[in-house]
Amino acid sequence: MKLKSIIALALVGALPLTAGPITVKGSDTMVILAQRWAEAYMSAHPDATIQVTGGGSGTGISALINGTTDICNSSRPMKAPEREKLKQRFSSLGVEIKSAKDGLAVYANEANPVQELTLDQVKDIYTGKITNWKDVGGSDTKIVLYSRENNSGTYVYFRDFVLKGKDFSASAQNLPGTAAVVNAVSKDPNGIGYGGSAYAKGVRFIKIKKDAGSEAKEPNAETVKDGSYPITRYLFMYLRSRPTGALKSYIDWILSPEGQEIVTKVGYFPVK
Amino acid sequence: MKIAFVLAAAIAAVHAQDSTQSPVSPEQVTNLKGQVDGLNESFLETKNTVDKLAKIKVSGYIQAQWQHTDTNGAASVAGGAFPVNSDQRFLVRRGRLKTTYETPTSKYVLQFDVIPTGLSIKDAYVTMMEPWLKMASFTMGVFDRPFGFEISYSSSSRESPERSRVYQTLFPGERDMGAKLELTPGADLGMLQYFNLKGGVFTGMGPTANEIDAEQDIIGRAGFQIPLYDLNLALDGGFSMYSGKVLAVNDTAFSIGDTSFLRTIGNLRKLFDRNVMGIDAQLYYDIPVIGGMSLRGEYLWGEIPGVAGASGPYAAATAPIFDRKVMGWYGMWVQNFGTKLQGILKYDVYDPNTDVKGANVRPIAGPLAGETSPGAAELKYTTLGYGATFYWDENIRFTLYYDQVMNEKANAVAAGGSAAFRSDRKDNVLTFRMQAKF
Repeated sequence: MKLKSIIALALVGALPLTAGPITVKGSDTMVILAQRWAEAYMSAHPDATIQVTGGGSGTGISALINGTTDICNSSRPMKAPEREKLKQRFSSLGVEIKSAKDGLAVYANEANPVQELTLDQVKDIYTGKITNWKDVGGSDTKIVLYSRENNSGTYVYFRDFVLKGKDFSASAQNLPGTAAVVNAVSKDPNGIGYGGSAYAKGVRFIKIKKDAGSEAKEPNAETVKDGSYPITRYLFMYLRSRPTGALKSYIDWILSPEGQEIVTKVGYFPVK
Repeated sequence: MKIAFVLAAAIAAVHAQDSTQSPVSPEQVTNLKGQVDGLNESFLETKNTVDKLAKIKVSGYIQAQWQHTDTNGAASVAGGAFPVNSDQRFLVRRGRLKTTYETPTSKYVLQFDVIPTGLSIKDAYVTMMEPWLKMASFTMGVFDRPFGFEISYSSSSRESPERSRVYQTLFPGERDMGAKLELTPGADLGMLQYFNLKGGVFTGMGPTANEIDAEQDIIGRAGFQIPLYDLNLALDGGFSMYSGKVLAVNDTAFSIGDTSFLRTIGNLRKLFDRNVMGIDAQLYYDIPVIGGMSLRGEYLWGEIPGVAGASGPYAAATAPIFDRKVMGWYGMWVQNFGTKLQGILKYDVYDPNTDVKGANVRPIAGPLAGETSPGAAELKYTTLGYGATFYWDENIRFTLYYDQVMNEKANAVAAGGSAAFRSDRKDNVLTFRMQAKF
């Protein structure tokens, strides 16, 4: 009987029944949004503690698989091999929650005369096929490419969706966050970069066309909502299991009108 | 490029400062620009080197354990027989070091097992992925046989300390030398994404032995993976086949008669079938509040030419073949409790000769010429295993596991080496293992 009591106590002790801090790791695209959510929620719920860090979507997903985060923020869907690792470790497929929408913007310096590009032109620029702005209607200057590091969900999404799986040009400079990309492009008249539309301060959106015959669009609430902006994506939260208790309360609040209002204030778009 | 920005900012700062005092000369600006360009070139070269090095991944794990059994020198599949004069031991069960070099269309893998008793190669293979549909790959070298589930489930991930007895006996080392083709359709191929197929041609001699005949073994598995995300439920499974031949290098061979092995001659250079079929199924379900649980099982059956006294695959250079029909299965339940604790329950059955019952393991009265009595190697084993794993952190875990091993009992008049099997042998094993993985 004593042994059964000890085992029962050990099992209870292993369960996350007590309300400890909620850890959030992952996407740098979402880190400011996640911080705003956490601040607003903790302000309204003083007993809650939420710790937010970035590091990139890949870092967040690894932390979810390793059991070192409660919520993983990701600006790209989890890949099948990542789901498989989660399944192996925790016998769970994970829970995917769409928390916001984003128009993945292509930035240019405010002095750059190029106003619009097709998706194919963006692909050719970032794969190194087009290397001079004059080939796309700009001045006769070399295009300077700014990109993200490969643990970034934005990097993976851009490579898979815009570059159609092709490799980035070797001359692309990998920067650690969207803010760094925006900063670089704002200081470089020949620079081009990409990232979440919420970060575009000091740079200009390049309007994107699906193809040469389509209308060029820039990312805003209307074009992202109706899908007419060609590079629209969801921003995800991933959990290991179905949320319960304090974690569920927080997720429910994020998806509520109050949480989605913060999405708009930060510069992204509500999930519905 | 970050260095270039700092310098550019410095230039701007100098320029701004000097604009209130004296203008920066064009020569100074040209000079600084040249330095920035030089640093940029140097950075790009360094980046190229770093990008290449980033393609090399080194990983590995160490499993160190202490074990206790019921009697000195007990035979065991939980890490081999115990020392003759001891019922306990410390053991470095596995010490793996794996290097992988990966590009978008290829992968090169070398894996070693480094333990106190020696170094051995586990994997040495090259995989090429086709770049168009990204669903097919071709592999050559030494790698896991594409059969069943438990073979390719890494020992570092597996919850029970050891694979089931049927796999340890029929597929020692898990690996073989050969070539395989694998098809794993992606999400862009619709319903096909839920199915996968892998198959290849192998020597049939295991990971390190050289080929001894011109016959190749064909091994393959057709599998499915159905994720039901809304239910947090996954159903996986597959059907596997092993079809090969074994060349007899001895004129004598034995096959089971009514109650004994019967000898035949004239078998030199005859080919004996080695065929195994298997079905496997896995269910994963996340139980709210408690944690994810999995139910897994496999069933194997077939015909395996072996040798006297051992039911594993034939690999001897001169011994007569003993032809056997085998069967084995296991069922396993794993339950996660939160992120740190895991409970394990496993039931494992292996029958090395389905034509022989324990009652037939006895000296034959008045044997015919060439008739041989079945021995202890023909007895069925049943193992009930249970335990728990505690995950200290993302790299280290501790496992406490108990194997309750029960053998089929030989006839009460069994003699010689079979006499000890008249009752259940005292060979249960308690394992305490620490695993570090990186």
